Amino acid sequence: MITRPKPRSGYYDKPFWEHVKAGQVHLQQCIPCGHRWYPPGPACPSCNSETWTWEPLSGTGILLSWVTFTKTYFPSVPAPYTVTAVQTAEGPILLADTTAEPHTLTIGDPMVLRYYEATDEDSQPLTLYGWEPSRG
Amino acid sequence: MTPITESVIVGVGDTDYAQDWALCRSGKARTDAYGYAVTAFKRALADANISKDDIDGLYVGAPLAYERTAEVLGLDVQWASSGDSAQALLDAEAAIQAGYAQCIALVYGNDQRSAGTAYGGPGASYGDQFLSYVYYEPWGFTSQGALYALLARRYLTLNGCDERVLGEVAVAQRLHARTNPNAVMQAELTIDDYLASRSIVEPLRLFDYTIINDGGVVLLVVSEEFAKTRNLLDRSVRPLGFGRSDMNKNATNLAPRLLDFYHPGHTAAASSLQEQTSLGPEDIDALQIYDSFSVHIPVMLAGLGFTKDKDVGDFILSGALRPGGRLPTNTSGGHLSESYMQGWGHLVESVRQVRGEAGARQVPQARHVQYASDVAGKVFTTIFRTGKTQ
Repeated sequence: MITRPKPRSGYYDKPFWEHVKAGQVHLQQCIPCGHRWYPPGPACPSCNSETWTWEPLSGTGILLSWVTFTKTYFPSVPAPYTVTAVQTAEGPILLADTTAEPHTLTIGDPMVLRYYEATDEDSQPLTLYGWEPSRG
Repeated sequence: MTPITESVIVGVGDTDYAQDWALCRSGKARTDAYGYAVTAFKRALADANISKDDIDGLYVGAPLAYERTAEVLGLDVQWASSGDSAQALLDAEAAIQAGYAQCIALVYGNDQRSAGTAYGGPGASYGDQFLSYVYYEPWGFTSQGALYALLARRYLTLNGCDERVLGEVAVAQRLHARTNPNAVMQAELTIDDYLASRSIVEPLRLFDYTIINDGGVVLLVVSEEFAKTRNLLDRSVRPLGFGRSDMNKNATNLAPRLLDFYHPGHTAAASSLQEQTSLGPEDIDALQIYDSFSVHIPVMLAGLGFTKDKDVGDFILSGALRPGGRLPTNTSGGHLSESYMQGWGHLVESVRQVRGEAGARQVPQARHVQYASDVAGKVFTTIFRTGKTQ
Protein backbone atom coordinates (compact mmCIF):
# COMPACT_ATOMS: atom_id res chain seq x y z
CA MET A 1 0.00 0.00 0.00
CA ILE A 2 1.37 3.44 -0.89
CA THR A 3 1.67 6.14 1.72
CA ARG A 4 0.78 9.79 1.12
CA PRO A 5 0.76 13.07 3.03
CA LYS A 6 -2.55 13.84 4.72
CA PRO A 7 -5.00 16.20 3.07
CA ARG A 8 -5.83 19.51 4.76
CA SER A 9 -8.54 18.95 7.32
CA GLY A 10 -10.36 22.28 7.46
CA TYR A 11 -14.05 22.49 8.34
CA TYR A 12 -15.14 22.18 4.70
CA ASP A 13 -12.39 19.76 3.66
CA LYS A 14 -13.70 16.96 5.85
CA PRO A 15 -16.98 16.43 3.96
CA PHE A 16 -15.06 16.70 0.68
CA TRP A 17 -12.82 13.78 1.65
CA GLU A 18 -15.75 11.80 3.07
CA HIS A 19 -17.33 11.91 -0.39
CA VAL A 20 -14.07 10.78 -1.97
CA LYS A 21 -13.90 7.91 0.48
CA ALA A 22 -17.45 6.97 -0.49
CA GLY A 23 -16.30 6.75 -4.10
CA GLN A 24 -17.02 10.03 -5.89
CA VAL A 25 -15.68 13.58 -5.83
CA HIS A 26 -18.41 16.07 -4.90
CA LEU A 27 -18.10 19.85 -5.13
CA GLN A 28 -20.29 22.45 -3.53
CA GLN A 29 -22.98 23.96 -5.74
CA CYS A 30 -24.75 27.21 -4.96
CA ILE A 31 -28.53 26.85 -4.75
CA PRO A 32 -29.47 30.45 -5.74
CA CYS A 33 -26.97 30.89 -8.59
CA GLY A 34 -25.76 27.38 -9.52
CA HIS A 35 -22.05 28.28 -9.27
CA ARG A 36 -19.62 25.47 -8.39
CA TRP A 37 -16.31 26.00 -6.70
CA TYR A 38 -13.14 24.35 -5.44
CA PRO A 39 -11.54 24.19 -2.92
CA PRO A 40 -14.42 23.80 -0.46
CA GLY A 41 -15.36 26.86 1.56
CA PRO A 42 -18.11 28.47 3.59
CA ALA A 43 -20.00 30.33 0.86
CA CYS A 44 -20.45 30.76 -2.87
CA PRO A 45 -17.60 33.01 -4.07
CA SER A 46 -19.83 34.25 -6.87
CA CYS A 47 -22.93 35.46 -4.96
CA ASN A 48 -21.82 34.90 -1.32
CA SER A 49 -24.83 32.68 -0.64
CA GLU A 50 -24.34 30.28 2.25
CA THR A 51 -27.00 27.98 0.87
CA TRP A 52 -25.44 25.16 -1.14
CA THR A 53 -25.34 21.41 -1.56
CA TRP A 54 -22.66 18.83 -2.30
CA GLU A 55 -23.13 17.54 -5.86
CA PRO A 56 -21.12 14.80 -7.62
CA LEU A 57 -18.77 15.47 -10.50
CA SER A 58 -19.16 13.67 -13.80
CA GLY A 59 -15.49 12.66 -13.48
CA THR A 60 -14.32 13.93 -16.86
CA GLY A 61 -12.18 16.88 -17.80
CA ILE A 62 -9.55 18.36 -20.11
CA LEU A 63 -5.80 18.30 -19.43
CA LEU A 64 -4.46 21.84 -18.95
CA SER A 65 -0.90 21.10 -17.88
CA TRP A 66 1.33 18.69 -15.97
CA VAL A 67 4.64 18.63 -14.15
CA THR A 68 7.07 15.90 -13.24
CA PHE A 69 8.79 16.13 -9.87
CA THR A 70 12.39 15.01 -10.17
CA LYS A 71 13.18 16.21 -6.65
CA THR A 72 11.67 14.46 -3.63
CA TYR A 73 9.84 16.85 -1.29
CA PHE A 74 8.02 14.33 0.90
CA PRO A 75 9.72 11.19 2.19
CA SER A 76 6.52 9.26 1.48
CA VAL A 77 6.37 10.38 -2.17
CA PRO A 78 9.64 9.52 -3.90
CA ALA A 79 10.43 11.24 -7.21
CA PRO A 80 9.92 10.97 -10.07
CA TYR A 81 6.15 11.38 -10.25
CA THR A 82 3.77 13.38 -12.40
CA VAL A 83 0.88 15.61 -11.33
CA THR A 84 -1.74 16.91 -13.74
CA ALA A 85 -4.01 19.96 -13.73
CA VAL A 86 -7.37 19.14 -15.29
CA GLN A 87 -10.33 21.41 -15.84
CA THR A 88 -13.40 19.41 -14.90
CA ALA A 89 -16.44 19.37 -17.17
CA GLU A 90 -18.15 21.34 -14.37
CA GLY A 91 -15.53 24.13 -14.49
CA PRO A 92 -13.20 24.07 -11.45
CA ILE A 93 -9.66 22.78 -11.94
CA LEU A 94 -8.55 19.74 -9.90
CA LEU A 95 -4.92 18.73 -9.46
CA ALA A 96 -4.07 15.05 -8.99
CA ASP A 97 -1.45 12.52 -10.00
CA THR A 98 -1.53 10.25 -13.03
CA THR A 99 -0.12 6.85 -13.89
CA ALA A 100 0.32 7.90 -17.53
CA GLU A 101 3.88 8.37 -18.79
CA PRO A 102 4.37 12.13 -19.11
CA HIS A 103 5.67 11.89 -22.69
CA THR A 104 2.31 10.44 -23.75
CA LEU A 105 0.38 13.49 -22.51
CA THR A 106 -0.78 16.43 -24.63
CA ILE A 107 -2.49 19.63 -23.54
CA GLY A 108 -6.19 19.28 -24.31
CA ASP A 109 -6.31 15.50 -23.75
CA PRO A 110 -9.65 14.24 -22.39
CA MET A 111 -9.13 12.85 -18.88
CA VAL A 112 -11.15 10.77 -16.46
CA LEU A 113 -11.03 10.35 -12.67
CA ARG A 114 -9.75 7.12 -11.15
CA TYR A 115 -9.92 6.23 -7.46
CA TYR A 116 -7.31 4.33 -5.47
CA GLU A 117 -6.48 3.37 -1.92
CA ALA A 118 -3.51 4.60 0.09
CA THR A 119 -2.61 5.16 3.71
CA ASP A 120 -1.66 8.43 5.31
CA GLU A 121 1.49 9.01 7.35
CA ASP A 122 -0.33 7.74 10.46
CA SER A 123 -1.22 4.48 8.69
CA GLN A 124 -4.88 5.46 8.41
CA PRO A 125 -6.70 4.54 5.20
CA LEU A 126 -6.91 7.32 2.63
CA THR A 127 -8.88 7.16 -0.62
CA LEU A 128 -7.42 9.36 -3.34
CA TYR A 129 -8.29 10.22 -6.89
CA GLY A 130 -6.05 10.58 -9.91
CA TRP A 131 -6.49 11.67 -13.51
CA GLU A 132 -5.98 9.24 -16.40
CA PRO A 133 -6.23 9.79 -20.15
CA SER A 134 -9.67 8.54 -21.21
CA ARG A 135 -9.56 5.72 -23.73
CA GLY A 136 -11.81 5.85 -26.75
CA MET B 1 2.90 65.77 -17.57
CA THR B 2 2.98 66.72 -13.87
CA PRO B 3 3.33 63.58 -11.77
CA ILE B 4 0.31 62.71 -9.66
CA THR B 5 2.47 61.26 -6.91
CA GLU B 6 3.83 63.24 -3.98
CA SER B 7 6.46 60.81 -2.71
CA VAL B 8 10.07 60.46 -3.80
CA ILE B 9 12.78 57.97 -2.88
CA VAL B 10 15.83 59.71 -1.43
CA GLY B 11 17.90 56.81 -0.16
CA VAL B 12 18.47 53.11 -0.73
CA GLY B 13 20.50 50.52 1.12
CA ASP B 14 21.11 46.83 0.71
CA THR B 15 23.45 44.16 2.04
CA ASP B 16 26.43 42.22 0.71
CA TYR B 17 24.52 39.49 -1.06
CA ALA B 18 27.51 37.60 -2.44
CA GLN B 19 29.48 37.70 0.82
CA ASP B 20 26.49 36.70 2.91
CA TRP B 21 25.71 33.89 0.49
CA ALA B 22 29.19 32.46 1.00
CA LEU B 23 28.86 32.78 4.80
CA CYS B 24 25.45 31.07 4.75
CA ARG B 25 26.78 28.27 2.59
CA SER B 26 29.54 27.59 5.08
CA GLY B 27 27.06 27.61 7.98
CA LYS B 28 28.37 30.88 9.40
CA ALA B 29 25.57 33.38 8.79
CA ARG B 30 26.68 36.67 10.31
CA THR B 31 23.31 37.75 11.75
CA ASP B 32 19.55 37.19 11.68
CA ALA B 33 16.77 38.77 9.61
CA TYR B 34 16.73 41.91 11.77
CA GLY B 35 20.48 42.26 11.56
CA TYR B 36 20.39 42.41 7.76
CA ALA B 37 17.73 45.09 8.04
CA VAL B 38 19.98 47.13 10.35
CA THR B 39 22.84 47.06 7.84
CA ALA B 40 20.60 48.14 4.97
CA PHE B 41 18.98 50.82 7.14
CA LYS B 42 22.27 52.49 8.03
CA ARG B 43 23.39 52.40 4.41
CA ALA B 44 20.13 53.97 3.25
CA LEU B 45 20.43 56.80 5.80
CA ALA B 46 24.00 57.46 4.66
CA ASP B 47 22.90 57.33 1.01
CA ALA B 48 20.15 59.88 1.64
CA ASN B 49 22.22 61.97 4.02
CA ILE B 50 19.42 62.18 6.55
CA SER B 51 19.28 61.25 10.22
CA LYS B 52 17.37 58.48 11.93
CA ASP B 53 15.56 61.22 13.88
CA ASP B 54 13.99 62.44 10.64
CA ILE B 55 12.00 59.25 10.22
CA ASP B 56 8.35 59.50 11.22
CA GLY B 57 6.91 56.50 9.34
CA LEU B 58 7.84 52.83 9.06
CA TYR B 59 6.74 50.13 6.60
CA VAL B 60 8.00 46.67 7.40
CA GLY B 61 8.31 43.87 4.86
CA ALA B 62 7.53 40.26 5.80
CA PRO B 63 8.99 38.17 7.38
CA LEU B 64 9.99 40.94 9.80
CA ALA B 65 7.48 41.91 12.47
CA TYR B 66 6.71 45.62 12.70
CA GLU B 67 7.01 46.01 16.45
CA ARG B 68 10.32 44.15 16.73
CA THR B 69 11.75 45.97 13.72
CA ALA B 70 10.90 49.34 15.30
CA GLU B 71 12.46 48.19 18.55
CA VAL B 72 15.68 46.95 16.91
CA LEU B 73 16.06 50.13 14.86
CA GLY B 74 15.05 52.34 17.78
CA LEU B 75 12.22 54.05 15.92
CA ASP B 76 9.10 55.54 17.49
CA VAL B 77 6.96 56.63 14.55
CA GLN B 78 3.56 58.22 14.00
CA TRP B 79 2.57 56.00 11.05
CA ALA B 80 3.31 52.35 10.33
CA SER B 81 2.23 49.53 8.08
CA SER B 82 3.51 46.19 6.89
CA GLY B 83 3.22 43.92 3.90
CA ASP B 84 5.12 42.96 0.77
CA SER B 85 7.25 44.83 -1.75
CA ALA B 86 4.26 45.26 -4.07
CA GLN B 87 2.34 47.24 -1.45
CA ALA B 88 5.20 49.21 0.09
CA LEU B 89 5.50 52.20 -2.24
CA LEU B 90 1.72 52.47 -2.57
CA ASP B 91 1.25 52.57 1.20
CA ALA B 92 4.03 55.11 1.60
CA GLU B 93 2.54 57.33 -1.10
CA ALA B 94 -0.89 57.11 0.52
CA ALA B 95 0.48 57.98 3.97
CA ILE B 96 2.39 60.95 2.55
CA GLN B 97 -0.60 62.19 0.56
CA ALA B 98 -2.76 61.94 3.65
CA GLY B 99 -0.20 63.83 5.71
CA TYR B 100 0.33 61.03 8.21
CA ALA B 101 4.09 60.97 7.68
CA GLN B 102 6.69 62.76 5.62
CA CYS B 103 9.79 60.56 5.94
CA ILE B 104 9.15 56.83 5.81
CA ALA B 105 11.60 53.94 6.04
CA LEU B 106 10.60 50.82 4.08
CA VAL B 107 12.48 48.00 5.77
CA TYR B 108 13.01 44.41 4.63
CA GLY B 109 15.23 41.73 6.14
CA ASN B 110 15.26 37.98 5.63
CA ASP B 111 17.38 35.10 6.90
CA GLN B 112 15.58 32.59 4.69
CA ARG B 113 18.81 30.86 3.62
CA SER B 114 20.40 30.41 7.03
CA ALA B 115 17.05 29.71 8.71
CA GLY B 116 16.19 27.06 6.11
CA THR B 117 12.85 28.59 5.11
CA ALA B 118 10.93 25.98 3.10
CA TYR B 119 9.15 27.01 -0.08
CA GLY B 120 7.93 23.46 -0.68
CA GLY B 121 7.40 20.18 1.12
CA PRO B 122 6.11 19.69 4.67
CA GLY B 123 5.52 23.05 6.37
CA ALA B 124 5.97 25.14 3.23
CA SER B 125 5.92 28.88 3.88
CA TYR B 126 2.92 31.07 3.09
CA GLY B 127 0.61 28.02 3.10
CA ASP B 128 -2.18 29.84 4.89
CA GLN B 129 -2.07 32.83 2.54
CA PHE B 130 -1.74 30.88 -0.68
CA LEU B 131 -3.57 27.61 -0.15
CA SER B 132 -2.43 26.21 -3.48
CA TYR B 133 1.12 25.85 -2.12
CA VAL B 134 -0.08 23.22 0.35
CA TYR B 135 -3.48 22.00 -0.81
CA TYR B 136 -2.27 19.26 -3.11
CA GLU B 137 0.16 17.50 -0.78
CA PRO B 138 -1.62 14.10 -0.93
CA TRP B 139 -0.32 13.82 -4.50
CA GLY B 140 3.12 15.11 -3.58
CA PHE B 141 2.39 18.39 -5.33
CA THR B 142 4.07 21.25 -3.49
CA SER B 143 6.24 24.36 -3.89
CA GLN B 144 5.94 27.63 -5.67
CA GLY B 145 8.27 26.18 -8.27
CA ALA B 146 5.76 23.47 -9.14
CA LEU B 147 3.00 26.05 -9.56
CA TYR B 148 5.20 28.01 -11.96
CA ALA B 149 6.21 24.80 -13.73
CA LEU B 150 2.52 24.13 -14.46
CA LEU B 151 2.18 27.66 -15.79
CA ALA B 152 5.37 27.36 -17.85
CA ARG B 153 4.34 24.11 -19.53
CA ARG B 154 1.01 25.50 -20.65
CA TYR B 155 2.03 29.05 -21.51
CA LEU B 156 5.12 28.10 -23.49
CA THR B 157 3.44 25.22 -25.33
CA LEU B 158 0.41 27.27 -26.35
CA ASN B 159 2.66 30.07 -27.58
CA GLY B 160 5.10 27.98 -29.55
CA CYS B 161 8.09 28.49 -27.24
CA ASP B 162 10.69 25.83 -26.55
CA GLU B 163 12.97 25.47 -23.53
CA ARG B 164 15.50 27.88 -25.01
CA VAL B 165 13.19 30.80 -24.30
CA LEU B 166 13.47 30.30 -20.54
CA GLY B 167 17.14 29.47 -21.04
CA GLU B 168 17.72 32.85 -22.68
CA VAL B 169 16.06 34.58 -19.71
CA ALA B 170 18.52 32.89 -17.37
CA VAL B 171 21.47 33.61 -19.68
CA ALA B 172 20.53 37.28 -20.20
CA GLN B 173 20.13 37.91 -16.47
CA ARG B 174 23.44 36.22 -15.77
CA LEU B 175 25.10 38.54 -18.27
CA HIS B 176 23.75 41.47 -16.27
CA ALA B 177 24.83 39.87 -12.99
CA ARG B 178 28.38 39.46 -14.25
CA THR B 179 28.70 43.25 -14.23
CA ASN B 180 27.18 43.55 -10.73
CA PRO B 181 29.81 42.94 -8.03
CA ASN B 182 27.06 42.34 -5.46
CA ALA B 183 25.37 39.53 -7.42
CA VAL B 184 25.59 36.05 -5.91
CA MET B 185 25.97 34.31 -9.28
CA GLN B 186 28.90 35.65 -11.28
CA ALA B 187 30.02 32.61 -13.26
CA GLU B 188 29.43 32.49 -16.98
CA LEU B 189 26.19 30.73 -17.94
CA THR B 190 25.62 29.54 -21.50
CA ILE B 191 22.50 28.13 -23.08
CA ASP B 192 24.25 24.74 -23.11
CA ASP B 193 24.90 25.01 -19.36
CA TYR B 194 21.23 25.80 -18.93
CA LEU B 195 20.03 22.88 -21.04
CA ALA B 196 22.41 20.51 -19.23
CA SER B 197 21.31 21.61 -15.74
CA ARG B 198 19.22 19.29 -13.60
CA SER B 199 15.48 19.62 -13.52
CA ILE B 200 13.70 20.18 -10.22
CA VAL B 201 10.06 20.13 -11.26
CA GLU B 202 9.90 19.61 -15.02
CA PRO B 203 9.78 21.62 -17.17
CA LEU B 204 11.74 23.93 -14.81
CA ARG B 205 15.44 23.49 -14.21
CA LEU B 206 17.85 24.67 -11.56
CA PHE B 207 18.61 27.91 -13.42
CA ASP B 208 14.91 28.76 -13.70
CA TYR B 209 14.81 29.08 -9.90
CA THR B 210 15.61 32.04 -7.70
CA ILE B 211 18.70 32.22 -5.46
CA ILE B 212 17.43 31.84 -1.89
CA ASN B 213 19.70 34.06 0.19
CA ASP B 214 19.89 36.12 3.36
CA GLY B 215 19.82 39.88 3.08
CA GLY B 216 18.18 43.19 3.78
CA VAL B 217 16.88 46.15 1.78
CA VAL B 218 15.78 49.62 2.88
CA LEU B 219 14.27 52.47 0.88
CA LEU B 220 13.65 55.93 2.32
CA VAL B 221 10.53 57.55 0.90
CA VAL B 222 9.76 61.19 1.68
CA SER B 223 7.32 63.88 0.66
CA GLU B 224 8.40 66.12 -2.18
CA GLU B 225 8.25 69.01 0.29
CA PHE B 226 10.65 67.28 2.69
CA ALA B 227 13.04 66.54 -0.17
CA LYS B 228 12.94 70.17 -1.31
CA THR B 229 13.55 71.52 2.19
CA ARG B 230 16.53 69.23 2.67
CA ASN B 231 17.88 69.80 -0.81
CA LEU B 232 17.47 66.09 -1.67
CA LEU B 233 15.39 66.46 -4.80
CA ASP B 234 18.18 66.30 -7.37
CA ARG B 235 19.23 62.75 -6.48
CA SER B 236 15.72 61.60 -5.70
CA VAL B 237 13.72 59.14 -7.76
CA ARG B 238 9.98 59.38 -8.15
CA PRO B 239 7.47 56.63 -8.81
CA LEU B 240 5.25 58.36 -11.36
CA GLY B 241 2.12 56.34 -10.65
CA PHE B 242 0.95 52.91 -9.57
CA GLY B 243 -0.90 50.16 -11.40
CA ARG B 244 -2.40 47.51 -9.16
CA SER B 245 -4.84 44.73 -10.00
CA ASP B 246 -5.26 41.46 -8.14
CA MET B 247 -6.61 38.09 -9.22
CA ASN B 248 -7.58 36.18 -6.10
CA LYS B 249 -10.81 34.62 -7.42
CA ASN B 250 -10.24 30.87 -7.91
CA ALA B 251 -6.58 31.30 -6.98
CA THR B 252 -6.23 27.94 -5.20
CA ASN B 253 -7.61 25.93 -8.11
CA LEU B 254 -5.22 27.89 -10.34
CA ALA B 255 -7.75 29.20 -12.87
CA PRO B 256 -6.26 32.73 -13.08
CA ARG B 257 -2.79 31.21 -13.39
CA LEU B 258 -3.47 28.45 -15.92
CA LEU B 259 -6.43 29.78 -17.90
CA ASP B 260 -5.66 33.52 -17.86
CA PHE B 261 -1.90 33.60 -17.18
CA TYR B 262 -2.83 36.56 -14.93
CA HIS B 263 -3.16 38.67 -18.07
CA PRO B 264 -6.38 40.45 -17.05
CA GLY B 265 -4.48 41.71 -13.99
CA HIS B 266 -1.48 42.70 -16.09
CA THR B 267 -3.66 44.56 -18.56
CA ALA B 268 -5.65 46.40 -15.90
CA ALA B 269 -2.54 47.45 -13.95
CA ALA B 270 -0.62 48.49 -17.06
CA SER B 271 -3.44 50.55 -18.50
CA SER B 272 -4.07 52.24 -15.17
CA LEU B 273 -0.38 53.15 -14.96
CA GLN B 274 -0.44 54.43 -18.53
CA GLU B 275 -3.41 56.66 -17.71
CA GLN B 276 -1.61 58.07 -14.68
CA THR B 277 1.73 58.67 -16.41
CA SER B 278 0.97 59.01 -20.13
CA LEU B 279 3.86 56.58 -20.61
CA GLY B 280 3.67 53.25 -22.41
CA PRO B 281 5.98 50.35 -23.26
CA GLU B 282 7.78 52.37 -25.95
CA ASP B 283 8.94 54.87 -23.32
CA ILE B 284 10.65 52.33 -21.06
CA ASP B 285 14.46 52.23 -21.06
CA ALA B 286 14.92 49.35 -18.61
CA LEU B 287 12.57 46.89 -16.99
CA GLN B 288 12.70 45.10 -13.65
CA ILE B 289 10.40 42.08 -13.27
CA TYR B 290 9.80 40.04 -10.12
CA ASP B 291 11.42 36.76 -11.13
CA SER B 292 11.14 34.08 -8.50
CA PHE B 293 11.14 31.89 -11.62
CA SER B 294 12.27 32.62 -15.16
CA VAL B 295 8.78 32.09 -16.57
CA HIS B 296 7.59 35.32 -14.95
CA ILE B 297 9.48 37.18 -17.67
CA PRO B 298 7.73 36.01 -20.86
CA VAL B 299 4.30 36.05 -19.21
CA MET B 300 4.71 39.62 -17.96
CA LEU B 301 6.43 40.93 -21.08
CA ALA B 302 3.28 40.00 -22.97
CA GLY B 303 0.87 40.95 -20.20
CA LEU B 304 2.33 44.44 -19.81
CA GLY B 305 2.22 45.07 -23.56
CA PHE B 306 5.93 44.89 -24.47
CA THR B 307 5.11 42.17 -26.99
CA LYS B 308 2.32 39.69 -27.72
CA ASP B 309 1.98 36.16 -26.41
CA LYS B 310 2.62 34.68 -29.85
CA ASP B 311 5.74 36.82 -30.35
CA VAL B 312 7.25 36.57 -26.88
CA GLY B 313 9.60 33.70 -27.75
CA ASP B 314 11.13 35.57 -30.68
CA PHE B 315 11.27 38.76 -28.62
CA ILE B 316 13.32 37.07 -25.90
CA LEU B 317 15.50 35.01 -28.26
CA SER B 318 16.42 38.21 -30.14
CA GLY B 319 18.55 39.18 -27.14
CA ALA B 320 16.28 42.08 -26.17
CA LEU B 321 16.69 41.45 -22.44
CA ARG B 322 20.49 41.40 -22.44
CA PRO B 323 22.88 44.24 -21.65
CA GLY B 324 22.69 46.52 -24.67
CA GLY B 325 19.44 44.92 -25.82
CA ARG B 326 16.40 46.95 -26.71
CA LEU B 327 14.76 46.26 -23.34
CA PRO B 328 17.44 45.47 -20.74
CA THR B 329 15.58 43.47 -18.10
CA ASN B 330 16.55 42.66 -14.52
CA THR B 331 19.73 44.64 -14.87
CA SER B 332 21.11 43.59 -11.47
CA GLY B 333 20.74 39.91 -12.36
CA GLY B 334 17.36 39.79 -10.62
CA HIS B 335 16.25 37.01 -8.32
CA LEU B 336 17.76 34.43 -10.66
CA SER B 337 21.33 35.70 -10.41
CA GLU B 338 21.63 38.58 -7.93
CA SER B 339 19.65 37.45 -4.86
CA TYR B 340 16.07 36.57 -3.89
CA MET B 341 15.02 39.67 -2.01
CA GLN B 342 11.32 39.23 -2.80
CA GLY B 343 11.10 42.22 -5.12
CA TRP B 344 12.79 44.70 -2.77
CA GLY B 345 16.11 44.42 -4.59
CA HIS B 346 14.39 45.26 -7.87
CA LEU B 347 13.17 48.53 -6.38
CA VAL B 348 16.72 49.45 -5.35
CA GLU B 349 18.07 48.55 -8.79
CA SER B 350 15.41 50.74 -10.41
CA VAL B 351 16.52 53.69 -8.26
CA ARG B 352 20.18 53.14 -9.07
CA GLN B 353 19.51 52.94 -12.79
CA VAL B 354 17.47 56.14 -12.82
CA ARG B 355 20.16 57.93 -10.80
CA GLY B 356 22.84 56.70 -13.19
CA GLU B 357 24.63 55.01 -10.27
CA ALA B 358 24.56 51.40 -11.49
CA GLY B 359 28.25 51.22 -12.33
CA ALA B 360 29.32 48.79 -15.05
CA ARG B 361 25.75 47.63 -15.60
CA GLN B 362 24.33 51.12 -16.05
CA VAL B 363 21.81 51.33 -18.90
CA PRO B 364 22.64 54.45 -20.95
CA GLN B 365 19.96 57.13 -20.64
CA ALA B 366 17.80 55.14 -18.25
CA ARG B 367 15.18 57.85 -18.04
CA HIS B 368 12.18 55.63 -17.36
CA VAL B 369 12.61 52.36 -15.49
CA GLN B 370 9.55 50.18 -14.96
CA TYR B 371 9.06 47.64 -12.19
CA ALA B 372 6.38 44.95 -12.24
CA SER B 373 5.44 41.98 -10.10
CA ASP B 374 2.60 39.48 -10.31
CA VAL B 375 3.26 37.07 -7.47
CA ALA B 376 0.31 34.72 -7.02
CA GLY B 377 -1.84 37.03 -9.14
CA LYS B 378 -1.22 40.28 -7.26
CA VAL B 379 -0.13 42.55 -10.06
CA PHE B 380 1.76 45.74 -9.24
CA THR B 381 3.67 48.03 -11.55
CA THR B 382 5.24 51.47 -11.43
CA ILE B 383 7.54 53.65 -13.54
CA PHE B 384 10.45 55.49 -11.96
CA ARG B 385 11.97 58.76 -13.18
CA THR B 386 14.26 61.30 -11.59
CA GLY B 387 12.60 63.46 -8.96
CA LYS B 388 14.67 66.42 -10.09
CA THR B 389 12.50 69.29 -11.25
CA GLN B 390 12.21 68.81 -15.00
